[in-house]
Amino acid sequence: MLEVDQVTKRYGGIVAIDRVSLRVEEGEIRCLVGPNGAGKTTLFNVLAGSTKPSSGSIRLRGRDVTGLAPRRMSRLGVARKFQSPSVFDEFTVRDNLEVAVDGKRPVRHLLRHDRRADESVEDLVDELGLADHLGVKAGHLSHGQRQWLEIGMVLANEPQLLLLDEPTAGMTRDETTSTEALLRRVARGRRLTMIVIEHDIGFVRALGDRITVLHKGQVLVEGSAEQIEGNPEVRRVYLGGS
Amino acid sequence: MTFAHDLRSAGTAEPPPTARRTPTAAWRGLVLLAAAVALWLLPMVLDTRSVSLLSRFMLFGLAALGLDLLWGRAGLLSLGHAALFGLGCYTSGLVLTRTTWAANDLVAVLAGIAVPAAFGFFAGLVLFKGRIKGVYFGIVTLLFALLFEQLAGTWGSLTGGFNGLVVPGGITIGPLDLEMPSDMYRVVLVVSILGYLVVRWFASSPLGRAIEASRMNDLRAEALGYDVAVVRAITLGAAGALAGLAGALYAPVEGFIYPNQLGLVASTSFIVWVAIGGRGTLIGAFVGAVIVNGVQSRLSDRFQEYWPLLIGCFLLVVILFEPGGVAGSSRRLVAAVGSVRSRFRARS
Repeated sequence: MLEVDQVTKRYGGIVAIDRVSLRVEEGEIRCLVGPNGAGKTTLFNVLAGSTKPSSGSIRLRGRDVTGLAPRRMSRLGVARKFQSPSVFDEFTVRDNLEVAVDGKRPVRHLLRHDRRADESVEDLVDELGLADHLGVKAGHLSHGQRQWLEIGMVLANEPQLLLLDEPTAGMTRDETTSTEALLRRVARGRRLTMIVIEHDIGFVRALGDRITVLHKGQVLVEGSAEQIEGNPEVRRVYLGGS
Repeated sequence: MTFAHDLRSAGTAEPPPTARRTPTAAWRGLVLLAAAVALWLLPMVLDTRSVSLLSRFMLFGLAALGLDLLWGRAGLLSLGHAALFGLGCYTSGLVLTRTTWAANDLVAVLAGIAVPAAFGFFAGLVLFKGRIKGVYFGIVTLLFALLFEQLAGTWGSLTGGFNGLVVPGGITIGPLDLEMPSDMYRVVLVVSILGYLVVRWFASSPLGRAIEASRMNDLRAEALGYDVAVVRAITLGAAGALAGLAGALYAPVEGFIYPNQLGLVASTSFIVWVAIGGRGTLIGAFVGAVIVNGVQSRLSDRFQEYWPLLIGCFLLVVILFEPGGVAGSSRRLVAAVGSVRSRFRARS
């Protein structure tokens, strides 16, 4: 599905990610962990097209997509949930989801409402648990609900590869659990491939098929949850010093 | 957010949608229809000068509608909206005075729409693809206003220079000979209403929603697949079409056009009207332009001197205490009356 080959991103003298290689299979849920400044978000920026890599290549289903703009990546089925909830605050939940459904339609078709959009929105809000909030402005939702709404917008965009940057950041224990259930449900139902940046180790253990640990811009180690947790290198990186 | 959106979303939030929606919509329609009929009949009671003044004010309102689309909906504050309006004025004025085609009145209006629309769209495409936004967009549009004003002033052989361009009053559309000020007034009235309805439809389409989305969060919009630069360029083109349409009719209504109409002072006036009327509400822009101009024209000469000071203070009051402008406060008033009425009904 996704092949990242020797991707490096430099900002002046600082190397944010350094020769990162990654293979994610179709339908896999990959978790990306690592201390602050490890380069996780930079890697997402490169994958979503917001940042051009300094070197290296990215292939999506065998097609070279290195350095394409975000909207092109979106049209190729790569959707991204940003780190802090990034929804349209003055829009209602319904409008947020509809604007997401319409994102991939050509501009010249945008003067007409698409009836199918309404139906997919109805289905989505049930899945998200926001059915009672369709008419509520996104700015009035709780933090957790805004996170779900953005996940919903990203899903409405009909992606094949989902990039989730800390989907449970700032959530309560209960909200984290339902987010976990939501993601597992959609991944199975839609046969999505996901890459998730997450700090919550319980969440990672429950959701991730495989885990990649980034440290100082490089891939430190990759493996299953048990392998990662037993790895002395990982412990050293997380628990102290460098 | 348009009123239609509010209604729709309120309908889904509360269980009995149809029971609540229908009477309000019917009332609104009735009020608007009554207003339109009253305006149509107005020339029978007003003197000729007032009628042609009102035509001018409505055309300012139509052009202000374009600025509201751009500023209120797309969040792009143009400091040079008068450049687009003036481009429409001069395009139509030049066709009317310099050509002898059979249908040149119609051509004048169509060209007056097309030229500013095309200019807005293509200039927008260049600017927005170059990631110009915010203050920088303001500065560039300011330069356009200054440039166009200068050009209209110095290119005398084409534009009549600083002395302006005299345009024959009135237009002919097919068999209709519309020369009387009251005829022109009715043309302007119909065009304004149609223009407003088209803008409303445009703003509530998925494209209108994309325009608003790109104002609120352009990175999110881009990540959802929208080409924000193209969406913004279309908005600037639409603003140009509206300002151009208004300008194209302004030339034969006023009978005289001059370089100041493309300049900075005229541009800031548009901003003041939109702000007072209620930014982002569409109808507010139109109403604001008509009200502010109406008040100004009623003041005695003595007060005209202090006008910029007065309108400045008033604008300050609006921004500080009623950012929703005229449209916002009247909407609140209607809501308050509605809630009192329903409370009264519940009691009886």
